[in-house]
Order: sequence, then C-alpha cells, then structure tokens
Amino acid sequence: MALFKYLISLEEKNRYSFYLAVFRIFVCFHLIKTILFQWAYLDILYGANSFVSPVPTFITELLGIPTHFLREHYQWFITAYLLIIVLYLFGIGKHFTALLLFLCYETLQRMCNLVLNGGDNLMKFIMLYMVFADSYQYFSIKAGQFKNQTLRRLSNLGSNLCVRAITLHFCMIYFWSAWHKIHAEVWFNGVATYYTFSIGRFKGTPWNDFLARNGVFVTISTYFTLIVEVYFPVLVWFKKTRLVVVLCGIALHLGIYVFMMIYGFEIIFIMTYGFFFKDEEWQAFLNKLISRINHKARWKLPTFAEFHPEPQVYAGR
Amino acid sequence: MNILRPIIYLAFISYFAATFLFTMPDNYINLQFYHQQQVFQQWLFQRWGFFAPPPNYDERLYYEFRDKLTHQSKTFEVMEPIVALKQQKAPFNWHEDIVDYLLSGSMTGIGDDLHDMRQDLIYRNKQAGKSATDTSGERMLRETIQHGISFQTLRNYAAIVAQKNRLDTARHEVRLILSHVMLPKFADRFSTKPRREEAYFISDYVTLNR
Repeated sequence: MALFKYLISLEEKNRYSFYLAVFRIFVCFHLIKTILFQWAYLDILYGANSFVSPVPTFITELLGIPTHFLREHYQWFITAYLLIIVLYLFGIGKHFTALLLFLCYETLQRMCNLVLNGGDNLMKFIMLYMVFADSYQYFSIKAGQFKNQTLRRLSNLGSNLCVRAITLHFCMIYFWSAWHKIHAEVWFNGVATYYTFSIGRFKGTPWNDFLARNGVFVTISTYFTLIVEVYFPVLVWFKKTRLVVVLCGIALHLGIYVFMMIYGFEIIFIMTYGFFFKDEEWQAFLNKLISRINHKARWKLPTFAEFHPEPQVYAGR
Repeated sequence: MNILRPIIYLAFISYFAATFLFTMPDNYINLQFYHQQQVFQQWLFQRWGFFAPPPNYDERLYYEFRDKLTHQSKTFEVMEPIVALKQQKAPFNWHEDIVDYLLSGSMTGIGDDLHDMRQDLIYRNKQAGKSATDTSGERMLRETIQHGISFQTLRNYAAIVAQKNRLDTARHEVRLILSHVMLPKFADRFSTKPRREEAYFISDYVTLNR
C-alpha cells in the first residue's frame, strides 16, 4: 500500500524540475564544447577522407541513410546537430527536440567510437532518459504545464521516472565497476593506483611518479576508490549518508580529473550527482548560498523562489 | 492513467532488469541469454569495468617503412611523442588527446581481438586434439586482424607518418609493430632496470593506402 501511494505521488509533482533544467543546460554546453574542441579535427573524426576506418551508423542505416553518405556530408550533419543543441538549450521543441538530439548524439558516437569513454556512454543514456522528462520549467523560453490532468500526471511521472532511471543506472555503473575491480588482483591487493598513475597516457601531473611510488598513498587511494564504488549505490539512498558519499565521489572524480587527464568523463559523473537531490534541497542550498553572498558582498541577488515564478498552464492542452 | 500506469511501470522494470542482466560479468545465467545480450548491446552498448584491471604497460606503435626497390628500412615510433605532448599540454591537450584516443583505441581493439581469437583457436585446437597453436593458426589470426577496421585505421595513419617524414608513399611499403612496454611490478617500483618491451602484433608488409 505504501509503495502504491509512493508511485501515485510520483504523478503529482515534478520533484526534480530545477536540476533537470540545470542538467539540460549542462548537456548543451558540454556537447557544444566537445564539438568546438574537435573543430579542427572534424574531418578526421567524421569525414569520408579520414584515416579512421568507418563503422556503420546503426540508426541512420535503419532510416535508409547510408553511413558513407553521412560521412561525405558530415558538415551538414554537424550544423544540424549544433542547431538542435541550441533549440534544446532554449527549451524549444521540448521532448521532440530532446529525441532528435539523442538520435544525433547516438549517430555521432557511432561515426567515431574510438574517441569515446565511459562518460560519453553514460551521457548517451541520460540523454535517452531526458527525452521523457520535463526539463523546461527553468531556463527555457516558455515554461508551462499541461491543463489536461492526465497529461500533467503523465509528464510528472515521466520526469520523476527519468531521474529515477538516471540515478539507478548511475548506481548500477558503480556497482558493476566495483564488482569488476574486486575481481582484479591489483585492486584487491591495494596497488591499482600505482599502475593508473604510472601509465603515460594518463599521467596528468609531474607529481604522478612521486605519488605512485609512495606505498601509503597507493594503498589508501586504491581502497578509497573501491570503498566509494562499493558503498555509493547503497549509502546514497539514505539522507544521513547521502552528502558524505557524494562529497567522497566528487573528491574521487576530481582526483581522476587532475591526475589522470580524463576530463569530460569526470565532469559528467560529478554533474550527475545533482540528481540525487530534490528541488527543495536545491532550493534550500541555493537560498543559503545567495543569502551568504548578499550578506558578504552587500548585493541584492534574488533568492530561488523569487527568480522562478509559477509556471504557466498551457491554455489549449 | 489507470491503463497507462501498469504499462509504464512494467516497461521501466523490464528495461532495468534487462540492463542489469546484460551488463553483469559473464556468468551461467546471462550466458543463457547470449544472443539476446548481443542484440541488447548492439542497441544500447555499455561496459562499466573501468580500469579493472588497469593496464600495466605503455603502448608503442612502430611503423617500419621499407623501400620496395632497395629494401632499406626506416622505423618510427608514434605513441611516445604524442603521449609526451599530451602530458606537457595538459589540460589544454585536446589535439593530442584525440590522436591518442584514435591510435590507442585502435591498438586496444587489435589487442582485444587477438586475445579473443587466440582463445577461440586454443579451444578449437584442444577439441581437435592439437597441443599448441601452429603457424597456420597464427597466420590466420594475423590476416584476420589485417582485414579489421582497427588495423585499417592504423594503416591509413601510416601515410601521415610517411608524409611527415618525407617518405615517398608510392615507393615504400610498411609494417606495423604493436608492443607493450611493461611497467615494473609495484614491489619493483624503485628498480632502475630498463623496462621490458613485448611486441604483441607484427603485421605483414602492406602498401600505403593514401
């Protein structure tokens, strides 16, 4: 009965409207940043004359668009992709734009899968789930809610289930990652970070060699990684332990960011932590932060409730 | 909503049950659904064993160019300079990062394919009563790899290496040597001995594509 009540409550309110909008903006900037960084190399990555051997793009092939056609006209594809990102950024076209963006992102990933990492893989799934979410209540040109009660309930359910899908998938990633690591001898014996810090491709700082030779650091950092990955999927669901385990996760990913030069991946993972907090929690945190800034700097920044008016109701729907 | 609700929850639960099943390490249960797993991974590819285990080597990629007429050869290693630049320029190293991922990803692809095919070969030899892999088996592995996408990518890159080093692409053929420079074990981390290098794939001489 309690479970049924909980499931019904998911239809009553979009509990993550704020962070869904924040993440939508993040997705857009992240995708634009990636394209800008690749700008000079787009021909190598996606062009027909690249030295990279082409892999078939699954969805477009199903739609009757051959991979070689896409690669020959990749400039048009990238232009359309950037346009869709901008539309999504402003919340124009809503769910339909989100779906188009997901399909384009998936196609782009398949056009050159060699440059992908786990962060890109996670991002693909988040974008798929966000197709079903109403992430347009903030930072979009027109925020609104359905007048029709069934549609409104469906929209709220879609949003809440989208966030639940993201958080469940995220926990599953940590769980399986930890499971694989425990099976590996170097993780079990506490020496894995010696190897991760010493490999040339991931040697992010001149201090890596020094740290990798320090037995205490290697043991603690290896077990810290394991403990975070093992306990995160459990402790993040309890209010008392959530913040601690999230802070530990952020520390872990910042460490990887700095010392292993894996940038986009870590930012995506850190940003995903935000889905573990509801609107009320974000509101309380932001209001506290804004009050403190206002107090220190003697500014008059508006608090959370002030800058977000109640959403409009779509008249005709 | 009364009709939609059970459909939505059923879809949600089924999707996550399938995701959980098809992303777990190989075991008796998920191997029963091997073909379904292949289909699932084709649509929703995911693999979450980050650095489990981490590599215990640095990769090296040698291009050995041989003059078709004189048979004189010149060898260039491409990974070490890229990785050194990537380290130097961090965090503003996106060019080196892209090239590193393209080459390293292809090398990893070849390494993984070799491992899988060799396991398969050993299994088939065992079934046939042979004690070890023979030379024909190794030749078959090499030829299969040389027809693969990863090898083609590295082979195409050879033309860029040749151009950079002012070698006539029409006059030269190239052989690829992929190797691992092993890290010393953690217990030997202060050792000053030179690191051991193991070649894991040596191709035939092939013509330069572009």
